[in-house]
Amino acid sequence: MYKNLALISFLLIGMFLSGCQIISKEKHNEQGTLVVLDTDEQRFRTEYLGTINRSYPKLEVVLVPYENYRNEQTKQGNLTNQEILSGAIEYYLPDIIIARERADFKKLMSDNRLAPLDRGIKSDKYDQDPLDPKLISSLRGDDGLQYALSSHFTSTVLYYNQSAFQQAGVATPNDGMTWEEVYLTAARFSGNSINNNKEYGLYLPNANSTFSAVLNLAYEQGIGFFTPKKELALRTPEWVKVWETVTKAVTSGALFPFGQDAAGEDPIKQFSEGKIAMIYGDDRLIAQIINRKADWAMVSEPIHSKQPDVGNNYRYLQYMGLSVNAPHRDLAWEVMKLLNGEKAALSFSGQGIPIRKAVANIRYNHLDLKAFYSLRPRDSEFEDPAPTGLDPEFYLDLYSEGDKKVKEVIENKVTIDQALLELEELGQVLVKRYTKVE
Amino acid sequence: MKRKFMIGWIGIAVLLSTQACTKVEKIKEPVTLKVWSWEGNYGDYATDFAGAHEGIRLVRVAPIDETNPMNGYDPEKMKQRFEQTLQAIEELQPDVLLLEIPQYIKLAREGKLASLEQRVKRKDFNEATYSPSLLTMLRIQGSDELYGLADNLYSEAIYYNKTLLNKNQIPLPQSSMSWEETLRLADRVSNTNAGIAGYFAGTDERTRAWAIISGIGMTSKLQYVNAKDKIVTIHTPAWAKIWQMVLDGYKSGAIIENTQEMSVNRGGHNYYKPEDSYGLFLSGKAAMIKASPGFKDILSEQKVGFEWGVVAEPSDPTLKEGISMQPLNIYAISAASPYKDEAWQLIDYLISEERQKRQAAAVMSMGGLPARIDANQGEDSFIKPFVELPPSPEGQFVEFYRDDIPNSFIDSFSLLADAYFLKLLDGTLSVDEALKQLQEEAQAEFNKFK
Repeated sequence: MYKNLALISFLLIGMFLSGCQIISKEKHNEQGTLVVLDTDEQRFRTEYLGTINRSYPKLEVVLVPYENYRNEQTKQGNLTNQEILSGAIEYYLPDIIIARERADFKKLMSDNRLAPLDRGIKSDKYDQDPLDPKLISSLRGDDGLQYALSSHFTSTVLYYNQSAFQQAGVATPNDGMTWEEVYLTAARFSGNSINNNKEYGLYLPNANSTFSAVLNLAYEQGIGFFTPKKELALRTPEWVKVWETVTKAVTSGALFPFGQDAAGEDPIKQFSEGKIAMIYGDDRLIAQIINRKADWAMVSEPIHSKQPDVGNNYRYLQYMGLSVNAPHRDLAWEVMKLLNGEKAALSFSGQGIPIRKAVANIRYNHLDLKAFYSLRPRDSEFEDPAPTGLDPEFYLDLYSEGDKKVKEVIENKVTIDQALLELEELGQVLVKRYTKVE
Repeated sequence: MKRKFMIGWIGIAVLLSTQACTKVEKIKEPVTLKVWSWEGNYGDYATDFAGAHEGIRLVRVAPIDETNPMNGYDPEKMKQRFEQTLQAIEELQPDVLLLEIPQYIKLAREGKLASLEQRVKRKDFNEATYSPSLLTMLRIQGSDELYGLADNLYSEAIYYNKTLLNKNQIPLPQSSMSWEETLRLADRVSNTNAGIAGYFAGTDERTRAWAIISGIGMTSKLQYVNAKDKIVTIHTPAWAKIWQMVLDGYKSGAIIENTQEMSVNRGGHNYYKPEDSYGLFLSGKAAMIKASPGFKDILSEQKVGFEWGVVAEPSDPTLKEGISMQPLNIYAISAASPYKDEAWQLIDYLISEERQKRQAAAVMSMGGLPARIDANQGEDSFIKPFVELPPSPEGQFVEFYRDDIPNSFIDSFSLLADAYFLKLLDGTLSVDEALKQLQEEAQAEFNKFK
């Protein structure tokens, strides 16, 4: 009897103790090496390495020196980023491949570099709990299988101050507005003032000059510099419209001033005080706006009427894939689940919205994030059909000329038509100068 | 009886084990720390820290310079921006703050920061491995109390071309010589070998004369302006002696400088290539240069064919203080924070020996040094000259950030001083005449700000 009791007590204690250990440590004893290729090495070091080391103290993680490799390859010849990535995979044989750009991820899938993860996800009951199933579908290939795990994405929305709209008697923004509507709404605030302070309709934190606002608006609407025949075309009706919209918003005071003009102002504070009605920007602004305790809300990013369900600025912060040739496949999969798991997502402190509902609710305190995922990510990156062999330096020169021209328009020295005519002529000279003759 | 005892024992054992367990299992509601920090700085540690400290979450508060950057230097707007930064800190109530020196000085003075004196005295902080000079400097700037800790520091020392000096049988420089000794040594170099200078004063778009002269004056705490009485004080025997010494150096070739326009990169920013900035030292045309720890990387990248050494920067023989040290990344805790212990955990993590070792190479290539000196394993002899002198309370960075003289006056004084130095080189004036005129002109300029 005593023996039994002693045994029971021993077992009981043993159970509790082991239970404790599982909960408190979650350490694994795997030894050996795991090779990881991350196209952003620094982010791997700062965001992932500590997590792996804490959970697998005996495991050696070898990070592929991708930046050096890329620099060496770039010196040797005219390789695209994707070709360099392929070369690195063949040379270093990584277990885990982390792409940071969608184009890289797509290329990895089409080259059959990645293993499908569906079976593992199902058998391990790896719970992705997405805010919206569309978020997961972007991690799938054309065959419908999932080739990457991800934990966070980023996108842009339109933030607005509710009381500013109420006071001005302007209807509040809604999901799916076009850019034209946004600029028209912004114009309703120009010339208003609150307590002798000027009121602005719209603040564009991603633009630091009028010309960069022109370029951003063109990008948002898929307007490029070249025709499908690879000819420079800057006087199209679409471009004229973009120039008109932005310059008018600047001269009328609908837009919060850019860069140096605004120096000394804190736009987030002004937004919280209702002196700026709307901000178009990414999810980083949420924390700043919350800190300022504004009366605010957000709607989805403005859309292009031809593709009303597409968002231009969705980006996943990681596309973490398992190499088809992974030498340590099982271990790699365990580590991938760890890095993309709920716990890691909770401690992730960089920019980005968690893909998981539960994590998003905690991180953002049950804030309604619908505006961030109500559109679907673009299928492919927008590409401007530039002539082959055009040196990217061309764009820098074109931008500096464009910057001069837009200033002349603002100062009423030239009309938009005249400015675009001159810019296109200058641009054609630049195209010639920067195109390599093979 | 025995049985009862046994059951009782089991009960206690179970109770104990469950208690132990609940202690582990019970996860407190996590504390959220607001961190005032630049995105690049924060991104380097936030996720890793939160992963290692489950009870603490971090949220970043962006400094207003980041939400609304200034495109260019405007001394008048700098002041306004400084005020706004302080106001934003007041309104946004961050728990942990990444501060620049003037912000640290001001907030410490106003009692807005929590003292860290008790925390660094605790054994687990291991004060012995944290740079004592840096602690001294942070205390000086905190009005004799420690209100912040830096994870890195910046400092300069004298690099010398050992091969060149040995070849010409000139004794090697010693740590913390006086400027007089340093320039005398430089003079010997220029005397022995035609075409080789002693001390390379650096590259700039105009002469570096006032930068050198004021730096020497600073080691002896000479002031060229008495800010309290608003009097310019450059026309004194002490200053005249330094002007004469530097003038002689320029004339004899003991001191050499490189004056050239900066290149402009595509982004429209002006810059010097390393060949421009340090060329005369790299090519063996000058024997000594004052530079930061990052210069070591340039020496190895440029594959110089000579042996080199480092000694502490020149100092005033009676004071023996360094003027080039400054803390990089000062972290402080808000006096109003309800989570001071958690905030301390973040700072403690940032300056932990483990993290400092991991970051050492990256920090040094950026020109800094880790605050934990032993993080630079095996580099003792290289590091020592940068940290061995106690820092002057009136070092060059304090001078740079001083708020009792208008920035624009400091700029115009330096223009005037350089212009007078060029006149001295032409031989059209004596040092005494030059300083007398400089004093009068600068005083008239300063009077405009009264």
